[in-house]
Amino acid sequence: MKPSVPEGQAVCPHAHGSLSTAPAVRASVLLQFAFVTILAILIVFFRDAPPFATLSITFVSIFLEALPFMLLGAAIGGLIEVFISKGAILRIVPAGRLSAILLAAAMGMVFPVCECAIVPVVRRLFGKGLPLGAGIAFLLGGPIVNPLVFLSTAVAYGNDLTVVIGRLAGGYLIAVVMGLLIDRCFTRQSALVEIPSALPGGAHENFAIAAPAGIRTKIGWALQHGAADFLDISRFLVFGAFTAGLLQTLVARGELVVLFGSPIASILFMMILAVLLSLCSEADAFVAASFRTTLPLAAQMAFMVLGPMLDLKLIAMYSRMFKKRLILVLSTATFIGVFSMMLVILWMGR
Amino acid sequence: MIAGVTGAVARLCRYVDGLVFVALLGALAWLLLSGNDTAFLHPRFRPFLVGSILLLAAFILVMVRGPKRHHAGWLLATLIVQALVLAMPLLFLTTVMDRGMGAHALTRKYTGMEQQTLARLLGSEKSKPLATGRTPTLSLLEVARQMKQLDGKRVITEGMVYRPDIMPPNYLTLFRFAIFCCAADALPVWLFVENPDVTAFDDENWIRVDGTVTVVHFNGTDVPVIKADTIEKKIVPPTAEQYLFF
Repeated sequence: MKPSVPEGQAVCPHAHGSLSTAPAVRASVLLQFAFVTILAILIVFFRDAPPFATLSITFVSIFLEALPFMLLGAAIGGLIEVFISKGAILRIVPAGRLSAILLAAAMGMVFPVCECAIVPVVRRLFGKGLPLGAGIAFLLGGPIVNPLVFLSTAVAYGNDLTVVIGRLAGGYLIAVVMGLLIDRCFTRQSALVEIPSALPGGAHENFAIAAPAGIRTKIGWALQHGAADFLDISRFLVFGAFTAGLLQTLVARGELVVLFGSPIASILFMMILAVLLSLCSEADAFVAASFRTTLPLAAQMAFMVLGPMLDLKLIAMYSRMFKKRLILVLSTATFIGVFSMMLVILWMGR
Repeated sequence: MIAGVTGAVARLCRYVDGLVFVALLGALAWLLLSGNDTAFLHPRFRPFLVGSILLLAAFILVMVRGPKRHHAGWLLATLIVQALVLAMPLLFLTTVMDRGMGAHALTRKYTGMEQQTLARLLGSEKSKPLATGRTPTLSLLEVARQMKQLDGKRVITEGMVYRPDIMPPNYLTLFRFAIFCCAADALPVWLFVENPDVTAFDDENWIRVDGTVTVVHFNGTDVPVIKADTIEKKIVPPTAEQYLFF
């Protein structure tokens, strides 16, 4: 069953792929219906309970905070899709694998984006032929190695440059290592899912670059792509934001601090907390700083380095770009990489 | 009749994506126009919300003018469930339009070290000089910022009440939340209030306290305690005014 388009309507020729009715799609629809039903039940039966207010406010706040950046990221992704050719990407990205990854991990300094905006952008860049390792390096490094995170971390830590530079350098290093690792272990075919186009049509992508079209038409296509990308990815933001809100409602930070008393356990605690809280990379330094007198610097750093790379909403959104095996390897390797780095920082601090 | 209804539903479903964008745009516009955005976000987010509204309007425009989908069966179900998932945050928004974070959120976010963090974060900021001659009215953030300077001085401040069972009978915790980006990253700002009549107040009552600040050492950190001369119950402020911002 393919979506049909009325005759005579202009269709963006970039559209590729089509919605499928495979069993996986049916399972996905049923799971999403179950999710919606559970949330509706929560509203009907628990809306007056005090924990519900905490859940609801946290959930809505994370969604509203991420929404502008998701929209912007989707719009930029649409512009990339329509205005940037594969040839242009190949000309911009250095030919050498290592140099491409080294450059991509630092791209956030000139293109500052948070972790929500970067997902649709990288997704479209992959579609344009961005090398896998470079894309991973940009995806992980961009939300940390950027001037906005530099500033917010400096404010949170009272201009302590050791913390600020340590965070950015740590993020850069992990992004480069993960870029190299994924580049070595995966091919594009084994790593990337086909980008489903929510646009009608189904024409092949690249001939449109050559097709004559006015700037207004092309901007219209870019916005169509942006809107479709937003709809496709943002529901995963909803899943992630809700889960993060639920865990913020159920788990008391103070009790966890007591539970993870030793320095090594405290690093693990802060990493788990970073995954669960799903905070924006421009705000997480303030939460990390609230543990300054209770936990070692390595634990706070673990929170600030891992959070922008791996949290619940990101894992959910990654599923619209990567195959499951890559998400598993990337998540595990990033977790282990950050943990190992923080053990070294802990050891150096003694 | 049934065919007519089915046809109408099918026509409506062609616009389901557009309806999602319209709902999001409407919610953001309402939050901005009513000022209720500060019940969730720091005011510095307003330009981003305006930008979101413009982008959503552009998306709606291209969806209205662009080609329409004609889906059926599972494909239609996919579109509908996608729209329902995206509607969930808006549905939850309607449940907390008149409620802010309270004592439960305090118990989840409290680590005990907030005073030191806030004192350090805010220490470099220029604080308003204390008025001479009359008791200054300060927010809990101001008290945290100037804790040392206020030691022994009289202040008026306000916030919500929290009295767990383990608290001594003549003490209560006065708290609010301070937001840097959004309510999810809010830090609790709190201090203790000492007065023999604190039992008259329930959790989450809003009160105004007039008393003298003393700094005490509590669980390894400095904490302000206000020895209150008077405590007045006050009207709960609108949700958008319940948070502090830094």
